[in-house]
Amino acid sequence: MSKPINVAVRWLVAAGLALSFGCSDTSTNEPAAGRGPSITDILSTDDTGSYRRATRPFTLRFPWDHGAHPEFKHEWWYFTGNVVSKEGHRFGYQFTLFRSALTPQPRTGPSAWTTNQIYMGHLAVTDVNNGSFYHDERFARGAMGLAGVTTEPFRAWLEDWSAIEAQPTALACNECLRLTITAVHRDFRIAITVANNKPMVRHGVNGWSQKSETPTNASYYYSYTRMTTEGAIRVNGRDHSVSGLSWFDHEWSTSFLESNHTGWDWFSLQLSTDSELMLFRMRDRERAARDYLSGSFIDRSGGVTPLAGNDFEISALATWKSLKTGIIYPSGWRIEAPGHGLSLTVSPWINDQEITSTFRYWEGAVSVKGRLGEQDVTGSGYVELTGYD
Amino acid sequence: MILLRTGLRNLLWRPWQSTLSIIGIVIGVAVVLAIDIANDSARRAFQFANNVVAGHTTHHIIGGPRGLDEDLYRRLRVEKAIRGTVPVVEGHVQLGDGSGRRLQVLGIDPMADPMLLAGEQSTAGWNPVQLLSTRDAAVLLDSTAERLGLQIPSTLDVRYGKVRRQVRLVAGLNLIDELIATSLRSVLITDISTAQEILDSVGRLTRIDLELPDDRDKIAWLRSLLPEGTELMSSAARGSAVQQMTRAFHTNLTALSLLALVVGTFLIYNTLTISVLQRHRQLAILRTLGVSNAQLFALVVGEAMVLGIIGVIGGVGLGIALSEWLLRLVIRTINDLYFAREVQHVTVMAGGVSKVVLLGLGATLVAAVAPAFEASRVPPQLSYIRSGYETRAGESITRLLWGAVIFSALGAIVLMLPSRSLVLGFAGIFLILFAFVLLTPWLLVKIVKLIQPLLYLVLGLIGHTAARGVTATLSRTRIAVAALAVAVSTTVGVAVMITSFRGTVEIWLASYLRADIYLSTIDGSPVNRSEAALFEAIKYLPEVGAVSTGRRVTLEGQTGRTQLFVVDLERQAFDNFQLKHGDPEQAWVQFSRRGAVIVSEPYAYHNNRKVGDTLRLRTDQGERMFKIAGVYFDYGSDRGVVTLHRSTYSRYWNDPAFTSFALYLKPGADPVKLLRKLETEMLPGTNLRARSSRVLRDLSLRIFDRTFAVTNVLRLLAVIIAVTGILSALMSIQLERGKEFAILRANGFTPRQLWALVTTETGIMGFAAGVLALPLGLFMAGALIMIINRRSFGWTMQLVLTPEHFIHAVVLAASAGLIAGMYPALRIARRPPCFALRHE
Repeated sequence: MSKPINVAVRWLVAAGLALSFGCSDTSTNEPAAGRGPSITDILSTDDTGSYRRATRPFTLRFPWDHGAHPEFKHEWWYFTGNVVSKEGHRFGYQFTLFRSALTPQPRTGPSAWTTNQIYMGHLAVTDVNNGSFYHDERFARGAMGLAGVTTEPFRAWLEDWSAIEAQPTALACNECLRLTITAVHRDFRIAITVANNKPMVRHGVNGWSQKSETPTNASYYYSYTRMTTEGAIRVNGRDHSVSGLSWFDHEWSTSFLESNHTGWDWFSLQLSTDSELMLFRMRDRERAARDYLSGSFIDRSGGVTPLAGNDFEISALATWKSLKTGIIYPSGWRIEAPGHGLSLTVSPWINDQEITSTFRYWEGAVSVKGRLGEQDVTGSGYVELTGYD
Repeated sequence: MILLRTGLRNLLWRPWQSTLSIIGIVIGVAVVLAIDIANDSARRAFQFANNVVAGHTTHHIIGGPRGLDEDLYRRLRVEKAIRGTVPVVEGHVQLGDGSGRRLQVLGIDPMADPMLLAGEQSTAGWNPVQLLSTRDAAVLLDSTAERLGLQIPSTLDVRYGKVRRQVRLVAGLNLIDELIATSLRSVLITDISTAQEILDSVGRLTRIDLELPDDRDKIAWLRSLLPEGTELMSSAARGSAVQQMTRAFHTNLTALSLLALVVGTFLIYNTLTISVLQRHRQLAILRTLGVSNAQLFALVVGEAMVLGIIGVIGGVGLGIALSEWLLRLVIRTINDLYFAREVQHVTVMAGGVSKVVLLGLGATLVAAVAPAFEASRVPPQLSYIRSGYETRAGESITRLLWGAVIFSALGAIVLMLPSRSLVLGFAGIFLILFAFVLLTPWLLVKIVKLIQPLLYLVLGLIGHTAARGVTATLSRTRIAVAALAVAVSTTVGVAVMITSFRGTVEIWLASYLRADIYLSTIDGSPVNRSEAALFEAIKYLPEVGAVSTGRRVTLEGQTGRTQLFVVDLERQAFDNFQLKHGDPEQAWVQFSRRGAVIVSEPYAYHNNRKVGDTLRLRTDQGERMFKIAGVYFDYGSDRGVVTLHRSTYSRYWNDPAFTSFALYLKPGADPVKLLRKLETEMLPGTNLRARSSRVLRDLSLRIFDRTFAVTNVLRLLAVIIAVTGILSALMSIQLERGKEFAILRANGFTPRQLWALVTTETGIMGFAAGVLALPLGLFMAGALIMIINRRSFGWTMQLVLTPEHFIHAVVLAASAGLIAGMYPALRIARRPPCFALRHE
């Protein structure tokens, strides 16, 4: 009796959670059974009423802005990384906390459980050598100490999954960050330490990152684009001692997607020249010409060059069809930025890095090859694809 | 084929007897099934209410009287990374409409586990997160909303204690799964924060449900993490502990319902035996035609099965219809005695029905064996003399006597086994009952012999002939008389038991409720601060001499639930507890100053404790041992109560609340006046209620009477079956004797005389059954009080005998006999003698 019911209940509650992570209208956004809603359903929200919006540049202050901004509807702390063991076993990992406000105004009450904030955690590991992909998802309310993000010291956690400041912030550098990330699933786990060895990058205009021509459709967005990573990843019952590079994004907003946008392709690439590239493309429902592109190029010394739509071009080289959801995703890209002497080919380490829990999207580790100016470059990074159906 | 038709023809040939025995089976099966369904539905109601919270719960973490500290949940989930934990805040509220209806509030964390809320395909638009985002949001079943006349969305006033609150019904659930829907019938689902506020338990959880792997080490590790005063117990253990509470109650009902089936079986046996006797000639002819013994055996069994199948089918239908009604009685009793559950809905399980069908058919088969054997023994000769059989019947009395001795010895041994098994108790009673049935022919002959001279004196020859008629047709009369005697004795036994019980409780209440006025919270919730202040004011009223406070608490533990009664009282009031064992003076000293407890009689019985023993209770500081200073009489709880002095309680539990207090007035103060003052001036608008001891006593007795409503219904049903039985038996006996009566008519008997003869005969049988029912009834009463009641509840009862029960029994049986004789007597008397003679 209980099995089918539980499946139905999972769907039921998941659908409910999907609604709370964004869409307000059940009838039009009802997810197909077995698929779950896509992450873009969540972010194309109409129900943004009196939430605070990222309408203009704003001076970010740290460590406070590492913390949560509950007056905005959405927020995430996003860690991705490419690491290799001594034996040459290659892994990708993703650890993300999503925050969502259920109401514009905070809820108060005598009970410690009272809150309007809910958190979702995603954990994924790509085992490149074995061609396998693991992922898990969790929810908790932002109350009772079950989930939240605090600063001084920094701590982002959802139950026992956490990213915690490893040492008190270094005196000399108030934007330095050194975190220990621990997230355990029955079948796989990560326990790593990440530390920035380049300064923080504020995207867009001093951290104000527009997502379309409309100025209110924007987020506050900063990154640590190159973080030295060391620790252990456990898959298949085996611990691998690994090291490599991670990328940390922190972004908050109330509205990401324009009504004509169906989703985005997002790239974070770390090149062998010690430079990094962040690019995103908000895809138009019908015409690629109406896509909104933006990005940042970070040079060896940490200097940031904002990239606009006419600075670069992203073209898909192939497609991959998911056996689980039947969705066709692009797979492999060419990125050309002639004005910056950039020509890169981006390939997924493995095709199937699709997240199919309550929310479906493709988030995967990639390898990079190409030229930067006169130099041959290689590299690795992460690509996120949302809004494909 | 021919045989089959012979059998069927035979049944149709005697529509009266066939119908009556079918009715017997119908009622017998119906009663057993109805009780089975009612029991099962009542049990299920509890199970499901538990399972709904989390379908896969294997364990619960439970705390003390005030539940758990909510931080324990965070520690387990965040620090110890224990998944599969579900926090629950639970309680009952009253609807604010003044109707007194109650809803269970179930506070959940929709984020804790997507497994939560094991419901299926609910109404579109229901979003569990709404519970978080909307203040005071709640959902309930669409059907519940409809039943309560509520719109969705709308608001609903609920009351917990004195506090009123408005919850917002944000969605209605429409669950496909009926079993789950049943368990949510009276449940209001809210977020855990809302439930904490409504139920005045901010910071506390009722329990934490867990889904743990079957891993001893992990469970032991988890146990080691729990703070003092909390406990991890498996759902199975918890469920069975709860079921333990009502098990005796359910067993008793089942046994009583089986008695109805036993009487029904008698009926089938009776009908078949008579039909075999009547057809000796026909059977003999069949034998000469080459039909074998085995075929005749099969013929009778086949006939029985036809009756049985029709009866069982009717019985199942009637049983299901009856069960709705019985369930209400059963649930009301459970609500009165054990815990509040609302089920107005029976769930008929195929398993239960097939069990009862098999039971009904089995009983029919058992009833058919002896008559079938008798039929197979018919010799293949034409001139068969019935008197031969009667002679045999007379001779076999000796054998029956031996049988009676053996069965009663067996029964006595089973009853005397030092066991606490209810099943064994009932088995012993049934064995002795059976022995008595075997004894019936012998006793019947004796009784008839005794009253024969009297009958001769009063009725002359007719009386004499009638008496002879009864003993001469012993083979058939004995069964009818035995069936009636068993049924009537059950009535006597149950009636005497209830009267004794009631008498005992009345005496106990008189000594227990010695205060003048009792105040308590209306819904049993602890008094809040303003009520406590009011209590202080009442305490210092000039009329009040002394006060005592009480607090009822249920502690859960590995061994089940323990009811605690915490009292703060003075020496004189201690005498309200009538000690069964223990010296009052010593007990008081130990109880009030040395941290000892006193326990009620059922507690001592169920837990095998006596004065001087210790018992273990889970306190806020972990498990502690308490010495038992006395065992007192108490009929308020059948699982037993542990009573502690407030000072002892305060030492081990952090729970200053109380739920009731008793006022002892100063000499000369008028309790009626004070009561009126309280009711009109001090209590309105509060959650407190004042009652005089007399009102409370009446109320208790009313609940008592309600408790036995089910028992009385079953008793009545048994009597109906018995009367049906006696009607059927006597009718067939008399109708069969057509020829004999015709000869009497031909010899000058007037129709009137014949009428008198027949009714006298049946009257004698009824009277005899009534007389036989007296000792048997007394035995039943004794067995119910001494064995069944003790084994079920552990209560001591005084046997209260009132003559009217016994007079009723004899009158009931004799009238049943007389009525049963009326119709055959009329028919026989009207028929011209030549007709019956020619018929031969």
